[in-house]
Amino acid sequence: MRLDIDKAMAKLSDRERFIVKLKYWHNCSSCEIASIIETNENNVNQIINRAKHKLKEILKD
Amino acid sequence: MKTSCPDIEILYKYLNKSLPDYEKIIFESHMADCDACLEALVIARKLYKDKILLQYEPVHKWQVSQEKNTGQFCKKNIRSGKEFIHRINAFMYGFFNSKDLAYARIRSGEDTDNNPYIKIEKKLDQFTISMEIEKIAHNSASMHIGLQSGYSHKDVFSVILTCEDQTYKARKICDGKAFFENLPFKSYYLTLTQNTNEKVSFPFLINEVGLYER
Repeated sequence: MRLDIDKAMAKLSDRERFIVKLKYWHNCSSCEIASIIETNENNVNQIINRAKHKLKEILKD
Repeated sequence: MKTSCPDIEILYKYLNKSLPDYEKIIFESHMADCDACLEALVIARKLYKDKILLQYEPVHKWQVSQEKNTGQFCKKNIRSGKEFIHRINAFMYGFFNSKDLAYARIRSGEDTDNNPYIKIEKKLDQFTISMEIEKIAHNSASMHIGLQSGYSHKDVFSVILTCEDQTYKARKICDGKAFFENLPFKSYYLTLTQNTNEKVSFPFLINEVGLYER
């Protein structure tokens, strides 16, 4: 399972992977991430949702 | 492809928003694949944002004697990037290697004959709390808590330390002081009560490196 997730994560873009790791591995809030990467919270949430959707599709296969 | 790990100056520039766009892309790409650097970034950012903890110097053994003589922890405002880099560098060094240089590293009495304590002051509303922490075993510390301002003899003050596993220890503050012994390295929630009314609280973590606000 872990390997599957790692493989799926590798298929995300660098920016998506960076943000997903900050969010779920380091428990950073969307607000914190937004301040780290200099964007707004909505944009962060969009990227996270897009990444989650991608991961779901990849893991489904 | 994983690039080489960025040095501390790049990390500082990234946190300081002064990294050029093209370098930022390289930096973020590296962070996506290097867990150690990502962890360093998260820690460094917490430190960078914490204005109070940033006032404290990394602890060197030779500074400890000053601490005992003056009764106060040596404070220094960190303003320039160079000093910041020094601090983060020292912190990272301590964090990853657990060697001498570290940020607010908890020391045991064996480390120095002069004063084994780390003293941190924390301002919470109208109260100023000092915390003196001494490492007493490989996985635990004792803590003296002092109420520096806001204390009055007319009121009954208590400190409650709630651990992450929901166990708690409570101490009445006598003459502005309370003592907790044998605190395992864990996350805690400090609550100050005045006449049983909860006044302020402060979440923090103690580990073998030091004390961190959460």
